[in-house]
Amino acid sequence: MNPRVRKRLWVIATYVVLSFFAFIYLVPFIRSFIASFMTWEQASAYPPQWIPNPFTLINYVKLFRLELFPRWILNTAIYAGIIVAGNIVLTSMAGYAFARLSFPGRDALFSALLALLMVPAFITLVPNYIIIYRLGLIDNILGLALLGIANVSSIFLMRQYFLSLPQEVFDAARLDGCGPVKAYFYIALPLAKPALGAVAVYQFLGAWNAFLGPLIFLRSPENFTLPVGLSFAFARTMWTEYTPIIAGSLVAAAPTILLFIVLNKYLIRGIAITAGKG
Amino acid sequence: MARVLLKNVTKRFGSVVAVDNVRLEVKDKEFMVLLGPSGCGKSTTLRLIAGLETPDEGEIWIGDRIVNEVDPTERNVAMVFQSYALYPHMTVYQNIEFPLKMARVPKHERHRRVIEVARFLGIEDLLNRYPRQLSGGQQQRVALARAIVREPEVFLLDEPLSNLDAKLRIRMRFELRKLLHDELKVTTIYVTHDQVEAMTMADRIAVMNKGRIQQVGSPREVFEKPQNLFVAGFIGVPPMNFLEGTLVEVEGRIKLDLGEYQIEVPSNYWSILKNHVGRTIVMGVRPQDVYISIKPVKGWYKAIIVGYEPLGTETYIHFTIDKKKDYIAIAKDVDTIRLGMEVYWHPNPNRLYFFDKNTGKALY
Amino acid sequence: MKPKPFSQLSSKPKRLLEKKKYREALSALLLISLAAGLNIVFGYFAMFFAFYLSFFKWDYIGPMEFVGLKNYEVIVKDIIRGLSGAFYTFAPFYTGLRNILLYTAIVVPVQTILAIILAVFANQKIKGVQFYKVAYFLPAVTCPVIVALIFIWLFMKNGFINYMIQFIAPGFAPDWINDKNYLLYAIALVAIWGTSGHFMVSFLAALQSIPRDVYEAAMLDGAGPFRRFIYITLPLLRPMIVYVVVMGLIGALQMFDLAWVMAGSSGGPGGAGYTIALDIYNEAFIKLRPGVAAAKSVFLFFLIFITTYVFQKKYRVLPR
Repeated sequence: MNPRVRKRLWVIATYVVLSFFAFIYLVPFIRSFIASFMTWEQASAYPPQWIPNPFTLINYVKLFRLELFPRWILNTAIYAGIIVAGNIVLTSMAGYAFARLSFPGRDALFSALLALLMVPAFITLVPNYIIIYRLGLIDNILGLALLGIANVSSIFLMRQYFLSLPQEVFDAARLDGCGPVKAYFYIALPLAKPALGAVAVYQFLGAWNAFLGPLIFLRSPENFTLPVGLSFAFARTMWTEYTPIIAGSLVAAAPTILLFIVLNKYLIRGIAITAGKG
Repeated sequence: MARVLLKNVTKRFGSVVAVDNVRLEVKDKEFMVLLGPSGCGKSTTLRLIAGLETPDEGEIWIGDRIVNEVDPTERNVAMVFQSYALYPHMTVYQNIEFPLKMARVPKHERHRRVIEVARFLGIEDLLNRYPRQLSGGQQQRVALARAIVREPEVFLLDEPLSNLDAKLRIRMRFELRKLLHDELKVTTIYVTHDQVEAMTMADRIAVMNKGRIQQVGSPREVFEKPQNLFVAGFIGVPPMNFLEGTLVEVEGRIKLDLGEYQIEVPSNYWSILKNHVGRTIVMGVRPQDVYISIKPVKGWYKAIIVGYEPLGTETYIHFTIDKKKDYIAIAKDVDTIRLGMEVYWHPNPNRLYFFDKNTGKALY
Repeated sequence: MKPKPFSQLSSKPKRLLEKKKYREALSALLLISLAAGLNIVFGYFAMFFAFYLSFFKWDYIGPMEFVGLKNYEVIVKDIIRGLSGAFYTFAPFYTGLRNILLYTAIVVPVQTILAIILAVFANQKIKGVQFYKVAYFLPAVTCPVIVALIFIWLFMKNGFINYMIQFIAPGFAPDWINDKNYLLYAIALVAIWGTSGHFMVSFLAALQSIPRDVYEAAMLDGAGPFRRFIYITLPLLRPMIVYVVVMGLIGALQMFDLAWVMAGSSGGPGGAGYTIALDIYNEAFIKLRPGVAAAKSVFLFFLIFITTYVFQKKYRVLPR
């Protein structure tokens, strides 16, 4: 076969495969989005229908009749905000110290922290519940956030980033009069914007989507985050129709989806930094 | 006064001795070049002077005080790094201003000095740019400006030209020397592995190898009077030829026995070598001082051509005596040279070097 | 300038060294204390406390009573009951264990292979490839609870998935969520759909670090695309495959969110969606037996530790 024809065929085959998978990964979102504007009667019709008729916002209206729904959005935002802020401050400091300062036991401590990535969350669940309980922070977003404000993968990401900066810049700063702490504020932190951005986005996604932690550490419905709230409110027995659940799911997922679509290049590249540490 | 003095300074990294009992004096306003192959300890020496490393043993003096215990910032030294180490997130202005800001110099004073230095180096148009928007040569100037603005007594430069392209390197070589030595008149310690830089810029060169200073002297001295085999072999392009043999005395004449044949040692060296007869000696001769003839000449030695590299104005001729080791001669007129050809060679009798094989020391 | 006597000489440099190191260590301590402290408390202390707790009977309020291996006995008896065919409610841990092993055996290989395939195709230098990467990664940034909620609807008897399936396998239309024979598979499919995109990105990063000239050399040696994949891509991806499988194992063996939403905390019809993670949750927070929950979590810990350890031991190449 002519190599040019062969190449053309290969490209076409690639597009076919890529598009097939894109269909599989996207269709649940598309289908949900369309159905959220349908009556339940139409959304549950067989075979599936694709054009909302009548076009209705009733599902969203019903959703916001759930008194606590706005409250859950707010709670999730507060939780995510604390987690992002905490991680930016704490893990950039720790990552900098692990990467650029020397102190006794540094490598051992870092390995010990890294090993926590391999420890399943379930083993620490009950003890942490007891600790937070003893601190009187059960049913409090602060108590929940305390568990996640110094994420080990964030520390790892920050450390790798600071290691990748040239030593000479820090030497120059040393000669120009920066001690270890000054160098953190004047040199390391301003240079770490890309890594801080990555930490912020990953931690935001993680906090916004978290389920197990909020489920256990938050007790009263008005303190729930979105995933916990939705998982209870949308217990199937409570609803005769499913379209408001779909609408609620889409509203809850919208921030992460939008964030991802805006930052996709950045995010996909960022994974490259964290991956492969094993 | 800002002389720099290293007294028996030693620095170890684990079991590796990076700097081994170094004694070095750099005179006030002197341009000293630390020259050596990579890993010889020259950069570590520089970092010790800067205070970025702390010596395990010995004293470091700058001016008239011991600075072992002085913070790098207060040593009155400035350093230009190989990568320039400009702060990428600061403008050129902020880069130059940074050391003054850290030293809590008042703002209007900072401004005055930044502008002054920028003007002096001809970079006042670049002050609002970021380092990534500058060419290599411009970055180099900013790095210099950042160092100069502190008005240091001692200037340390770590391979500052190695990131520039060949053309710019030659120009900056000249300009750096003019700036630091002739205009600022500041004590300068300059690290490089490039002997051409060292020869053209230095007042004196300190040749280093394996953490030790091998020789300190003017460029002329280290070239013409190398003190040991390392210096002799390191300085000069192409490197010096070493012929190893036993010194013998035949009928009152001293000769070097190479195995294949004996080379007559010119009589002007006899007095030095008399006591070494019977020992293994290395004779050094620079390629520039090897004469080659395609016709037999009386008293010249046989050799076989194993290769030649024409470089335009001259040609490097590789020849062998024993078919194992080859030597280099530089010749101008080589039209008739062919591979495998038998030729005749002779060293310039006034430009020979002799070294003790065991100690490596030069015999003068 | 006279040199100082040697006696002073040896002590002085050390002092600066110590001062400098002391200052640096102090700064470092200041910078890491919070991050390290939190992780030591909530990571290591909690882990050791879980081991400790697993030997005690407790109700969170009263005094702790040492019971030796009693809590582990609960697990063993449960498994024995399960093996001898007891109804699932009488052997919850066994049910969860059996389910999660089957689930893991399906999810980890499929999601890993799928992620490699996606990555290889998405790594082609062709137009619009970023769109495909976004599409594949989108499920991974979406909350699992929300994904599960949407899929409950898609998996309904007359739902969208059965509609698509009838084009491939006419007549096959199970009631996924309500049929105990299909529930676990439905959960597994959702998990694969949700995580393969995430691991695809890991593989993309690994693929991009393979130097181009290696492929060019292979091409000159006469290897076609398929053989290039087998002889070059796969071996060079091996460290990343090990990493992805290990991370996949850790995630799959403690699967919780999807089961909670799709099957419910009691595991759905016939306990088909029950998992060890759900069982630990129920022990700790419904039956209020933290000691037993701790013992079960220790069991899960070792299950995960042993599987990942054995896998790494067997397949990990020497460190790069």
